[in-house]
Amino acid sequence: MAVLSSVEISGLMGSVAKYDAAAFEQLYAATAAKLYGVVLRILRRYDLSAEVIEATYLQIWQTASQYDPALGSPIAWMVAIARRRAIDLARRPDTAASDAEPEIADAESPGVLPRREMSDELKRLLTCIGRLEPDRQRTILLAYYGAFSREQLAAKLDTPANLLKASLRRSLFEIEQCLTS
Amino acid sequence: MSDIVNDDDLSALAAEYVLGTLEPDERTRANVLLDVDHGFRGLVRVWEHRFGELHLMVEPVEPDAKIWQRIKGKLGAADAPSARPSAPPLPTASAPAVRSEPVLVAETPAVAFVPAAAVVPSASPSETKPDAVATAEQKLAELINEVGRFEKRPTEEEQAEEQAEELTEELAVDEVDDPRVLEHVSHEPAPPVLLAPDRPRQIVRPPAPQVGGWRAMALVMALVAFGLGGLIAAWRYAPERLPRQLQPRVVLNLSQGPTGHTPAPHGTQFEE
Repeated sequence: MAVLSSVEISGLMGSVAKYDAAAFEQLYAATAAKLYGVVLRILRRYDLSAEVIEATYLQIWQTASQYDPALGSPIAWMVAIARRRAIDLARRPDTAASDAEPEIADAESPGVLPRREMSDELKRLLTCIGRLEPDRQRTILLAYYGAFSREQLAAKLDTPANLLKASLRRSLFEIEQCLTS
Repeated sequence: MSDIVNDDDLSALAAEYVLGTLEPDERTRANVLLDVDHGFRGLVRVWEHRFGELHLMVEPVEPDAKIWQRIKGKLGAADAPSARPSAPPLPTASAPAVRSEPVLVAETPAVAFVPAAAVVPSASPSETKPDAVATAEQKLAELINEVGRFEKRPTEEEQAEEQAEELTEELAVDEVDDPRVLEHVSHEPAPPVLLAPDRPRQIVRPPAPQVGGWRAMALVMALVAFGLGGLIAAWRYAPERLPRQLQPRVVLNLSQGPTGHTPAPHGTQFEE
């Protein structure tokens, strides 16, 4: 994966919005591995993940002009598209039925990121998540990275589903309060 | 989602949508809402922005080159109706891993976990003393790691849980005691307002030739809606002025307004 700065990726995004195929290829080369990593953690199957990546980049190609820098970095925007698609696919009944035998036994753990590579936004979010009780921190992160439904989370964490829902919503509310304070 | 009664519920729904925790039927309905409700779309964008940077913690996995070839082949024909994929992609020998083998983990043990201790001292040179926020983040990152392990091997579950709790207990203490954390937070730029400017999800196509027909149709529909609206208003407020044939029957009870349903007080769903 070519390492490009956020500014360079923003520049590529501007060109892709004008349907510049060369810029799109560069954008893909610089970002596909990240998106694939995110999607694999959610779907835990290579064929489905490849499908999602393909559809995601076609959507990026068609809608790059809608990217709004005010709502985050280009890569975060792209990851959001990929996650939406991956979660939609994971929740489809036919996918859910085959979920019993994922190709990747379980999502591998995300690596530790050196502080200098963290964006200010990430630091702020992690500070806010860090203020939650330990159990609720784990639930939020497990939910985000694996995109498990509440029912799946409740089973994994051995918690009654209604308690999990209440605690999840309280966590989200507290994160919102912390980020907007 | 019949229980949506206030903005906080809608925001919570958007947050859960972004997090990915909605059950399949809830997600289906949220997707419909996303298509029709401007406000909900804005909330989803805001939450996607809030969680947007968490991807930085995920290791990249190089996809098979064939994926790009397929995308490239579809670029020109992306709008053509025949551009749908005809078959699911087949796994290939050059793929990063073969079906049914969790080799991703096995091949990249060095990438999978870097001890936090090795990383903290190498953080930015300006940090000459331990930074509470930095250690908090490191610990949280370790916690994420523990979460992964906790999923992977049930036998290590309890151990990982204990470690995670220790880490985060320390984290909570560090984080609260150090005033620099507050400083750090308060100096951040203001986050986006809740209802951020929204944009259409679809590409706006140039007006087609038959737009005149649609306009006429829209006008007729608007007139119909207006007429019905007027009639309903008349039923509600001045039924006695209507011609006898149009007066509401008592059985409809429209003039008394809705009864019974009172929305839950603001924010109650967050209190246990």
